[in-house]
Amino acid sequence: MSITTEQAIEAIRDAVHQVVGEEWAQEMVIDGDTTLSGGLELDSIEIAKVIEIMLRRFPAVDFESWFGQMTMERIVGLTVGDIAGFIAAPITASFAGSRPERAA
Amino acid sequence: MTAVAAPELNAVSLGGANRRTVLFVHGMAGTAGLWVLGYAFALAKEYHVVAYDQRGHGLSPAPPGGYRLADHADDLERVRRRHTDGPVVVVGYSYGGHIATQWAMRYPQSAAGLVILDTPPLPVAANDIDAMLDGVSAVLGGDFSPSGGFIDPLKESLRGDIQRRRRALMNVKARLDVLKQTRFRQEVLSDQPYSDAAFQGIACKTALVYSSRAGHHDYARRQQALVKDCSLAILEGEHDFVIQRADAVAAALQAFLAELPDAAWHPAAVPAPALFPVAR
Repeated sequence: MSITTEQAIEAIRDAVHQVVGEEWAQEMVIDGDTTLSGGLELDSIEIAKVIEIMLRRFPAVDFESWFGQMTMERIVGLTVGDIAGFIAAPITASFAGSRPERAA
Repeated sequence: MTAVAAPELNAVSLGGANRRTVLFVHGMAGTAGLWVLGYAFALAKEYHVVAYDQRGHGLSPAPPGGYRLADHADDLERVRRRHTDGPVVVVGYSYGGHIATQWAMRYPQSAAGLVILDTPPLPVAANDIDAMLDGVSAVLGGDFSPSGGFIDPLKESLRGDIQRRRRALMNVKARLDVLKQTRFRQEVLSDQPYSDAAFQGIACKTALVYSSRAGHHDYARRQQALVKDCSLAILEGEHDFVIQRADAVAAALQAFLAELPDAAWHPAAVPAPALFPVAR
């Protein structure tokens, strides 16, 4: 099953709304360029919950290997587009050696 | 006396639940966020990793009471039981180290290992708690003068970064304001230092990892002398070395896990039933 980048962004948008649950978040523009910490101003536990929701939603995506190579600073600086792109990438793709092949 | 239901604490878990479990306990005024984003992913390929928000912290509820170390240790045990049937390695940072220690004393059958990161001695100083409970408001207003064991690391990480993280700071302030309405302060202050016998009762392998500049080395050496199977490493840095020197702290944690004997993870290898059972 494949997913488009736009569908992945929508899934991230849903996860943010689920975690933050504020009118503020509903009104927030969340697109591919939005960063989790700077743009959305999520704090670390909110970012962790958003990522956990994405893990559950996309169990075939190897987030653990991807995030496992990053510092905390790098993770919180990711854009919604970075994460959506990782989710939407073809199953056998790997980019620049930093993106592990995804298990089925 | 009416029994009060334990709060359902927010927890994040990564990695397969069929693996050996490592459980993180954050420090005072902290959340599970640092441990998930800074440590858990690197471990999750090999371990089941759980980090939770203590009562009154992060995304967990703040009941009116239950902030003594024994209450926190019971909470930790409930989180363990929610995520695994087997013994776990618990990693406790700062005040979280006291919770981890209390838990290992109360639930020896659940403890595969203990890693204590830069935990200062008990009792907690009143001015440290007050500086934390009131200091964030001051920092939000640009006043960095409040100082204390719990506010200093937070303050330093925020210096020059107030505007970008204003919402996150407002979240912290809102949580602290809720905590101020509870018995948190008086109950934290009521916890007394552990006796030598209590430390001697810790049965699991233990690693103490302290920063070079935060002090507390005498306390660390006392623990090392009393706990049966205990190592001590001192890493260059301040109390916030878990952020600034995350690579070094993670390496110390990985080394501890690698050296832990298989028997430690086996339920049959652990001592007698808990003296303080809790409902699941």
